[in-house]
Amino acid sequence: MSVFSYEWKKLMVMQRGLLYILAALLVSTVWLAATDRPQNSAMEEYREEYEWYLERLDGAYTEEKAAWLEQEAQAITEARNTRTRLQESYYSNQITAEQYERQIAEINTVLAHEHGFEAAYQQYLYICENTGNRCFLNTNGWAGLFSSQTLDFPLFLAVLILATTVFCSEYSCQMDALLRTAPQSRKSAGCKVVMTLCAVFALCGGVALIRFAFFGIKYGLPNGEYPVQSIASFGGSTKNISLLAAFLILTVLRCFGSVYLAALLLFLSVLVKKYALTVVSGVASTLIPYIGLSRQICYRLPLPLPFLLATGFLEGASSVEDSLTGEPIVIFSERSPQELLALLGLSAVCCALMIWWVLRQNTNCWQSERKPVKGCRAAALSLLLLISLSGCSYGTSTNGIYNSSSQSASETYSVIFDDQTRTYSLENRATGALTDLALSPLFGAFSDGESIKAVYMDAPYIYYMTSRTEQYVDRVGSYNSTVTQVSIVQLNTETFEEQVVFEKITDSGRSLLGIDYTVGDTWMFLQYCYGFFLNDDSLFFITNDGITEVGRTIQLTKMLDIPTRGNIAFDGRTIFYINENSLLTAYDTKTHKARPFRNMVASDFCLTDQGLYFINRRDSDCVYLCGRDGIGSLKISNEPALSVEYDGKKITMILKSDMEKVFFEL
Amino acid sequence: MIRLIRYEFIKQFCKFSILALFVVFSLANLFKIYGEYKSYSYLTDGNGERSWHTLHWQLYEEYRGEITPEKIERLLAAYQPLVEATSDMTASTATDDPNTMTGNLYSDRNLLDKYFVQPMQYSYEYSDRSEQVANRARQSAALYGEQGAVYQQRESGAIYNLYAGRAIPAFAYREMCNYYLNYDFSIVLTLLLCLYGIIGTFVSERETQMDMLLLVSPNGGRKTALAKILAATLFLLLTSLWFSFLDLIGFAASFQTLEGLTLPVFAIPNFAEVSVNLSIFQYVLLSAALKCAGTWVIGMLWLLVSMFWKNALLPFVLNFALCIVLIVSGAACAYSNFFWTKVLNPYSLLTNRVLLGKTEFVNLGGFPVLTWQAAGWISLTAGFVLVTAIYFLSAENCHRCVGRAK
Repeated sequence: MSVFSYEWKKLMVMQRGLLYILAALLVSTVWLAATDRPQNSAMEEYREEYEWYLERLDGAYTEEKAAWLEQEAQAITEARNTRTRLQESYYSNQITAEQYERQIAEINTVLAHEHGFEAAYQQYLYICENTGNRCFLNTNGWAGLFSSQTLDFPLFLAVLILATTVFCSEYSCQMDALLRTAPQSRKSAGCKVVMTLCAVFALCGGVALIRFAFFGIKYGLPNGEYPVQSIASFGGSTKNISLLAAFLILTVLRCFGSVYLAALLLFLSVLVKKYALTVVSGVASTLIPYIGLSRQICYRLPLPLPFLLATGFLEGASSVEDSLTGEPIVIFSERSPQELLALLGLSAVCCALMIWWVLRQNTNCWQSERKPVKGCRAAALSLLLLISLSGCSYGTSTNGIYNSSSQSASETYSVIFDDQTRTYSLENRATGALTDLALSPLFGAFSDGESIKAVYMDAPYIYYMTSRTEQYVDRVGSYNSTVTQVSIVQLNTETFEEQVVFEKITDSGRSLLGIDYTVGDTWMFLQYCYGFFLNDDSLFFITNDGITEVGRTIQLTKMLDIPTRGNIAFDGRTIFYINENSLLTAYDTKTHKARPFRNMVASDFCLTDQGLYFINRRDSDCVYLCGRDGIGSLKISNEPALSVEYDGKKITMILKSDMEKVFFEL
Repeated sequence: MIRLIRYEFIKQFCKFSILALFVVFSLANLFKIYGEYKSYSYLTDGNGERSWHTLHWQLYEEYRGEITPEKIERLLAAYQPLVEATSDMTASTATDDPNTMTGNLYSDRNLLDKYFVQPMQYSYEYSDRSEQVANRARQSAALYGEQGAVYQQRESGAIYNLYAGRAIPAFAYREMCNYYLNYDFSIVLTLLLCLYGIIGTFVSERETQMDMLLLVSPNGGRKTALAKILAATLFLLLTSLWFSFLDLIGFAASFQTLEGLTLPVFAIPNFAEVSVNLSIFQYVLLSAALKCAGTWVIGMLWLLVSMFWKNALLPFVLNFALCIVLIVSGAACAYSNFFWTKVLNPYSLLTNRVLLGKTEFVNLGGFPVLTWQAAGWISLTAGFVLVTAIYFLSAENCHRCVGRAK
């Protein structure tokens, strides 16, 4: 067997090199699969509808596409208005059923892809900022692929183990002296170095390939030839490269970074001959500049770090506004190709010098012409230092009645919302005593960024949704220094025990130890949420765009196609709402099926213990009562009404004729 | 025993590599602190006659000390005309206006606003806000008393005791303290240095197979293990204290002042809901003590992990990965309402403002305990459990076995 085979067996099999490589690949894959969220949720949620637009828009911006999109925007707005108008006419018997159905069918063809339009229009607005180098395409795959802006820790740890073991294992059992007496000591060292660097290169390439395959399969990676500026994170870049080329460049740079890190570790291990000192020096040379220095400086250091991060080499300049003076502060300036090549060249020279020195140290007197120079260790260490320095648990609920248009109430408590102060309070129905929500005396006392956004009552529990915006430090130039967190707190009205049942940070920009990074916009919708309800399986958040269902265990989000213009009612299992055709509809949250109630055309409704009170548009807006299954319809009032509300005890109607409020107890 | 601890300390921690890393990390820390000052302070524009730095310290002499109605009136008399002149954004943008302090009207307004008006307004309004909290807490306690919710009543009582009578009577420069209290970089350096120091404690002897030899010594076995634990504890505490001290010195030197250390800690807006009624200097001492506790627990965890390995590489990488997990999970739940996640993570003791900066309680046996106190006690208990585990898992020498058999 050759020296190479022996070394292969020693490093990869006996010292478990292959095992560490496979473990790193496995951890990276599992982590990616477990944590990946689409960068643009709307594009993914309404994929089919978005792709219908993409078929017509795909590619570069043109005047025709822009004109078509603007026309489409107008057509959708008009169609929505026409639909409302048609419904009014039909339910007031101004047009016949045939006319209505014929015209509504035409409108529905216009509105067939309205959800996807929003995502397409947002992309159009982004492209309009610079029409020359931005294209229409499904960005989720590429944006996800380029989203890894932070250090890949599994890869970093694997490189640490692989490279440190090579020589340190020999130093620890003092076999280095013996190896040096062998005639093939230089060849042996060469094999070790080459094998380690190749293994690290393959590992990094493997991680890149896995990411490529993952995003290709999950979202698709179409139109690789489009400019890289089509992805928002590279929007400001002036480099004229395609998406695929950008991925290849980033992969090559990361592979070089990993090889450079491995060479540095090999060099350090030969220099200091100790496991711990080698690893700590390797970690310190990467981690200290990463956390301690700004990105601006990191990408100028001839260290492995900028290459391991890599994305900054392709990004454009970015700046933020000074919070006091309003002046722009440049937080990152674009690295030109010349600067990248210069840094790459300098790093490659450092890398080559380190490998040469490692081989030289493993050369015995038969192969060496010169004796090693004393003190070179100290000099090398000083040089290295100089380079481094330059550089959910929840209770079971009984599920009461919820109506989004009115505040919830139970036998003992009712929730009161003060329009003036925009605060919620809890009224004890027996004593009339008012208690501020949230109960904590500290809530909102020192910050205007704390507020309650919605309340849901399910006796004996009250759930309230709080929003808290915090600023880490009042510093300039740190764009992720503010964070908005939305929580749902469960309050037991019998024991006054509070428990947080759900909590999420809504912003996609995050910061950890000064390292800024972004995550997908999955929880962004919580910022615009104005109502919620829940059962044992899911939480339902109401926004203007619809209802988002969030599982209580694995917290997967799902957008329900429920219009939220009118009242939304919930009885613990079924969501009641008025659909686009003004029909009262029940959506079963277990079977995920919507069932419109035939002939129950309503302009407003409310859910009560007895059933659904609704304003019947087919009978001059009189109030009717029907069962929760939509069966049995009973006329309650002969007076046309504008709205009907239920506060837990009584029904309130506002009459159309004189806006008078009429109450009747159940 | 003391001699044994001294020997172990000298053997393990008084090494050239550790001292070199100490120096390098300390210099990196000072470099970073100076970077914070240069990046975030507006008073870095030199010593020119019209620079913010010069003007700020001139004006500061006028307004420092007790907040009096005269000072407020004098400040508003200077500030209000500037606000009126610049409110519609049509004032001159000239930078050499002789009728202004800095040469520019907007700059004058910003200087007064940032360094005098805002801090003084916050200090002035703070007592009312805390009084409001105390009153709400008292009312809540009465309500809970009627309802028989004992825990909630106790919690409200604790909030009342903390917030009643809070006030910021004096005005002082607080920028240095603000950035010092929000500074985290030295934690990473402390952890890295401690990890390097700790990792060799047991491994260095196993690497050279000296652990077998040690067992034959009368002081070998568990006695040596105990000495190693105590020496490691000393090293962890000294390292943690050194960086806490260095941070303060670094910030004081960079900002060229120690002003503000006598202010109550809630004078810093980020600490408005702080759970201790201490001055900033006292807070710094408490924070240093909590950092020591956190570093010690994490250090003992590393020590336990490292004692099963024959070389330093894998335990180092494992401990480093463990550290990253603690840091990432700690940072992810830093502002969370799931208080137990903070309390149980020893990293929270290192970035202790997430515990001390908010008045948050956990329920321990029906009693509300402040999160920083709970985290401190839980960490100390966990630390002692780890020490016991290390002691009993380390090899016992034959002298003791023989003695026991007799």
